[in-house]
Amino acid sequence: MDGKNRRATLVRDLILIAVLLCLGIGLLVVSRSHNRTGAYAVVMVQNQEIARYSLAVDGVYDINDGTNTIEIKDGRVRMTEAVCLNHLCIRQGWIRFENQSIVCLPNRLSVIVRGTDDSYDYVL
Amino acid sequence: MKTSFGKISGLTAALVLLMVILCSCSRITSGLIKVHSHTFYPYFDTVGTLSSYALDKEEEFNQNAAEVNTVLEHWHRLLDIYNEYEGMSNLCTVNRLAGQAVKVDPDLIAFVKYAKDMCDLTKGEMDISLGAVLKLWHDASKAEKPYVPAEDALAEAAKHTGFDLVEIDESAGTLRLTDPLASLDAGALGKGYAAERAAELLSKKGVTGYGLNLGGNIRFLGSKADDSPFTVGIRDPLNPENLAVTLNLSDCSCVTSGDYERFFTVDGRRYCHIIDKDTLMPASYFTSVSVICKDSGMADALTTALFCMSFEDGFALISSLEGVEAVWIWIDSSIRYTMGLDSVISLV
Repeated sequence: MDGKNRRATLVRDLILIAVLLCLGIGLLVVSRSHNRTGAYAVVMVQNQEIARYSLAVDGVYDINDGTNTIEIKDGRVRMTEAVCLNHLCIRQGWIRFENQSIVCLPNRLSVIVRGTDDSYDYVL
Repeated sequence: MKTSFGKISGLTAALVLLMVILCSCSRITSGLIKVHSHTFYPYFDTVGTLSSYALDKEEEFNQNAAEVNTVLEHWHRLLDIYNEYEGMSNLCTVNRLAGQAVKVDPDLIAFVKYAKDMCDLTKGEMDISLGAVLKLWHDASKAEKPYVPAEDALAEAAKHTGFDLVEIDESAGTLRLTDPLASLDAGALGKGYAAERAAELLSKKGVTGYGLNLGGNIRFLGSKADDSPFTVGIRDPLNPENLAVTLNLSDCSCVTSGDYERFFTVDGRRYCHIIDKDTLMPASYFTSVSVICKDSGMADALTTALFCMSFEDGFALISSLEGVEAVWIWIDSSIRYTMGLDSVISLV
């Protein structure tokens, strides 16, 4: 190959590298940010799921025939009202990690976060 | 042309490798989703969850969950200090009949003996004979309008504590509190001990890839089916929505005591549920302490003890024990941990 051809090949290779790199980084960024749109809060009573709410939609919901009330805002969920003595469930505050849960023991009720990439098996 | 093509393939391969490395560098995330899960209510006044990451069949898991349920119920009843159960004598019975010898299940005797060992190990910082003092705090927290127990009442109750008041007669199979005003309270050790008994049962069956969480007292059996570790996050006290620390653990226990779990408020001040035997008040050194070691009972006992000890004393105790690690988190979010956790811990 003469000089001119060699340079053309080099430029082509560089462009290819640049494109691949951009694609790769692009995919990385997209997969990271796809964090909370698919996330939801699952409401379980005893061991049965009774309701499921998307964390992408803000709202306040009465659950379990009104024994508890949850609020969803900015991809998080918390217990705002509960018909129970010590209100430990309300004091838990906001949760947002996969598998994280708020429990209202007297009502045998749990609100669990699912479907988010922000995941730990246990949060203490 | 040939040379260029070769270069392109080589470069592409290198780039793909780079991307793979970039993606996996962040934290160990397993693609393996929890396959089965069962929740237990309300043993030890909390929620328990058994989770399988073992990719076992549902029938097998349900069988295991049922057996764990039996173990937890057994220990919940034996260690219950608020209720008695027909046909058996438990801690509530022993407390009610304080002064008299009470014939109990050999399991309960084994538990009290273990509690005594843990009391000695922690130089009394974890002591189930603190019942008389703890009762005052329980009553205060559960009142319609929670209050702080009076100092003199606490001091008086403290006179009726101490393991020397507990008489174990193994041959007769009895327990006796020599002081009629003394009482036992297994709150600081019960969950861990019960979780370990459940783990023992599953272990004997060859079960692996399971996690048992009993109100913050976690016991892992092996690793997940894809050989990845279990991931545990501990909350940041200043921003409870966020994590302070994450751990990658396998085949061990992780128990955390925190002042943000159970507490009551009087005049704007928070009183947590772990009582320091020296001050007779809730301990306030840290916002949370986590202990990691194989045995769940030991982890539970140590976590209570460390919560009531200065960092220096606690660190010395943990350092003297083999196979035991700990994490301390202060209210200002500062963190200290033992070196053995270096390879599994990440500060967030």
